[in-house]
Amino acid sequence: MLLLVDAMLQSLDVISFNLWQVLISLANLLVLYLILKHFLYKPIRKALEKRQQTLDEEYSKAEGARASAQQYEADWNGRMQTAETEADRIVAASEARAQERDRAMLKDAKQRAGEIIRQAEAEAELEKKKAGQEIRQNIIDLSALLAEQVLPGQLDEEGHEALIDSVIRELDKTGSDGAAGYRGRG
Amino acid sequence: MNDKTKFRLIDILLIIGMILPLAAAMAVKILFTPYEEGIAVHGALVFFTIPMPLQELPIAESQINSWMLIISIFFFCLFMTHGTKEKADTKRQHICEWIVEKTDSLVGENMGEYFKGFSPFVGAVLALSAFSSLLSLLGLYAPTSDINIIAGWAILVFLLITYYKMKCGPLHYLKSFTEPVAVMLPMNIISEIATPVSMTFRHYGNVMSGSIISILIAAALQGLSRLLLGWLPGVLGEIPFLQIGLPAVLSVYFDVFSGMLQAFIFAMLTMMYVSSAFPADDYAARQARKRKKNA
Repeated sequence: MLLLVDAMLQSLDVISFNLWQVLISLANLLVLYLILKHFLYKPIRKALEKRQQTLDEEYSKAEGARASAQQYEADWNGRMQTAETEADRIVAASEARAQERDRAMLKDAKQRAGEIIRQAEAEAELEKKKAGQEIRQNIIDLSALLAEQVLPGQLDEEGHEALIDSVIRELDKTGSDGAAGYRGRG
Repeated sequence: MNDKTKFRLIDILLIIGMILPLAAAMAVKILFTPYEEGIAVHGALVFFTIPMPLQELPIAESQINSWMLIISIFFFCLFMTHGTKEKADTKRQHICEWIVEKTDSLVGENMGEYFKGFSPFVGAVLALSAFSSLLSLLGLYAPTSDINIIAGWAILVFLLITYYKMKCGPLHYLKSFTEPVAVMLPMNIISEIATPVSMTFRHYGNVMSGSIISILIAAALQGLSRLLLGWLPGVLGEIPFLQIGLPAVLSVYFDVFSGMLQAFIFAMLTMMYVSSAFPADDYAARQARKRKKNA
């Protein structure tokens, strides 16, 4: 207990105010302020400012690059569009041309086919006529032969031929009725 | 010798510059401390006194320690800014930038745009106060437990306060004492003087009382140890075993936490007082009037 009181009494002389010490301490703080200002804050601020400057420059550069890139893109897009329309146009034109040619070819083919058919018909007609004449000649020959057998010597060949020919012509003219009349008479 | 080894060498020299003052202060402390028995609470050790007008100037431990601390901080700054580049790729530059940006933002938040230049000053207050308190961890006498040291800082703050109050001219300053009414004059004067006094005593009292409590508890533990474990044979009985543990915990609180807290409080109060001392509106009006007159 006594020790404690003694300590407290001693502690009273801890609070001793000294003018010069106060002034020195004041100066100390000022000196430290100057030290910090010149040796810590100044170089660091300088570095920070420089970095900010570089950063700003880089940013503006990047901005410019982006703008030019956008312009390039727009340019490219426009060119692409024109190329597409051009391609479309070319395709449409060639399609139209192909169709035209198709149609022409078809028409040509049809025409030619028609010609061929007509020719064939004409030939057939001719053939028919020829066949008819041949048949008639054969009949005439046959009937003349028969008549010679039935009435030998009475009939000369030329006179009979003319007769039979006229009969056949008549038959030809009357058609099926003529043919029936001829049979009834025979 | 290439640049890299040169850089390293300068680094080592700067680190030595950081450590040497503190080591010197410790050596001086060890050499000059008189041997004493039991407990004693005393002020800073006085090495010698210089005769000065009005009052003698004692060159005390607290003074030596704060000078050594300032030299150490100076070398610390040189070390930290050594090799500062535009592109920060070293740890120390990151730390430096963190310090600068933190104090800038602290000052910006508490004091406003006008006091932007105050961040080195606030940094100086914080550093000097905090590291002064932390010096006790090295076994040195903490300069913050000397009233004269704190009083010097507080008076500097007081001068700053008065300077900013006088920004609108001395007449405006004198008139501010009679506001809101003339009767308040003595109160205003007292409150004006009370600012540095309260700042001094708050900081000094906290640190000093912490160290006194630490000393008392250590002494009490020594006594208790002798009482309880004195029966141990030989040297074992002399060792104060109970002093292990508790004083360390108290030291963490009183030396580290309390010191940091007081440093922060002192810096905050500095910022508050100085920024509120500045009559911003009146000053702006005055400047506008001046500009009108000139134009």
